[in-house]
Amino acid sequence: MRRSVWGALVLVLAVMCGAVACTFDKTPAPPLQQEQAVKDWELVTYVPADDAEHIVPKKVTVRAPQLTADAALREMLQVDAREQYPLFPQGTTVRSVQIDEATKVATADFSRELISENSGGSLGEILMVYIIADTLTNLDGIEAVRFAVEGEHVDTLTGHMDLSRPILRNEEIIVK
Amino acid sequence: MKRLICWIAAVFLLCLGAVSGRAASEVTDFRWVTRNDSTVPFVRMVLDVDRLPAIDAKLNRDGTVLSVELKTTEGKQVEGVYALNPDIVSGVRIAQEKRNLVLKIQLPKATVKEDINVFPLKADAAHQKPYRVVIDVYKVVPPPTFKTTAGLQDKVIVIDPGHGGSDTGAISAKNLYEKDVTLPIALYLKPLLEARGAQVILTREDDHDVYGPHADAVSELQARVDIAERAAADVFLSIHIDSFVRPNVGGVTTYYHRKTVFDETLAEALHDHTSQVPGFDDRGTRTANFYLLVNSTMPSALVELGFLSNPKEEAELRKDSVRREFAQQIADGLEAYFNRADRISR
Repeated sequence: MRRSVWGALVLVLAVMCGAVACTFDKTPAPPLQQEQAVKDWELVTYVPADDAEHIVPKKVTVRAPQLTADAALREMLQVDAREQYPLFPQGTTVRSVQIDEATKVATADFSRELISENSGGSLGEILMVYIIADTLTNLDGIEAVRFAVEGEHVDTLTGHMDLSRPILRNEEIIVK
Repeated sequence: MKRLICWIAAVFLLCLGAVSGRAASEVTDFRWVTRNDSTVPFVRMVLDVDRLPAIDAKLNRDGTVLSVELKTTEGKQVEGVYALNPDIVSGVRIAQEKRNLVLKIQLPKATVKEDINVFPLKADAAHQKPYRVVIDVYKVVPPPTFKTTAGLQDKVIVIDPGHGGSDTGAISAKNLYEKDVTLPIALYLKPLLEARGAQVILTREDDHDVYGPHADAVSELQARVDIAERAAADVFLSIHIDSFVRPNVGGVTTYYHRKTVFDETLAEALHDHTSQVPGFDDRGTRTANFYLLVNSTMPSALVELGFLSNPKEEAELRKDSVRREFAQQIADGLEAYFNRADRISR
């Protein structure tokens, strides 16, 4: 009887060791092939109006599993690039968009060209700032926007606007 | 025996429940924020409570300590000392005083009752918000020091020729720099105003950076604001020339930020005159979140006198006569402003 108890214990230990060994040996299982369904997302971005005072909504369809804030800004730059006179400086790209879920402030980080290749006027600065802010605040979970270039917060783009505080959505600038 | 112990325990728990149920409201969270999105900034303090207590608020005689008592309330989770915004609320001490939870709110400047709001908010199930007690303290704004009497006599006017030095500002297709147009206009303007009795200070009198070469943009802008503040200017005016990606866009624009009751009047008076210069479209007056306008305390405006990107306007801006004409119109606009401000102030 005693021997059989010891035998059972040894067996249990052996099985446990085997199980542990197995878990270490195992190559990681491929992640579950979760079908990331690609969907058509409707995004509203903006371009300067003919009066160069307001901005005009442009609806675009983005085909992706999710409509991310980064993708929205990339789409915004593409829509702008198709204009006869693009507003955003040539070479400007989106590096990332970080969203603070508590404050709902998004930090939009662009490549250096946003400032270094900017032709400098205050009118262009106003339109760029609100095209970015209004495009991002069309997305759920974003209420205001801060600006960054090459990973560093910037407090102005061309030396006129005060961007040291988050910029709220501007409805008045949108053509009705 | 076991059963008896169970009963005693149950009765004790029931009593405890009854006592705590009848006793106190409980504060579960304290948070605060500075709100800069109103005309006068304020600090908002919020206490989450499980149900609304009676509230008693008292301001001491010299207006430097606000005591808010939440009657029959406990707040073990929030007791303590907090440092807030030193300009508006320097600190808060939350402590239990007998059955009441008391907030002693230290105010850095003598504050009046009208600048304080204490109010309860009901629970908001839709947004999953509990009952709240809200305390708003508004910043003490010193009375304005700028003059708004008629005429230019004895007025202190700070003129900022936009950009300069290592910062060219906008550059036209034919290589005309914004900094080289704003400076001569300011230099023509100075004696025109002085001839009418004003004291004029330029943020720069030649082609140099105001803060320092290749400084970051905000240091450069703040250096210009500082000059206006130190001079206790009655008006701060920044002169710029715009630029845009479309060459057909042109015109004169006057920007302001509504921080005093006079900023809009200043912009309109200036614009009524600068928009008279022939050869430039009229783009009107507009509000803008411009650094110089937001961060200065006196009435201020930023004029964009045409577009360097517009070939027709660029050619005009090269002419000395046009620069002199803009200076003349700005001088007349400033005089018109003080006359209008005088009427508003009465």
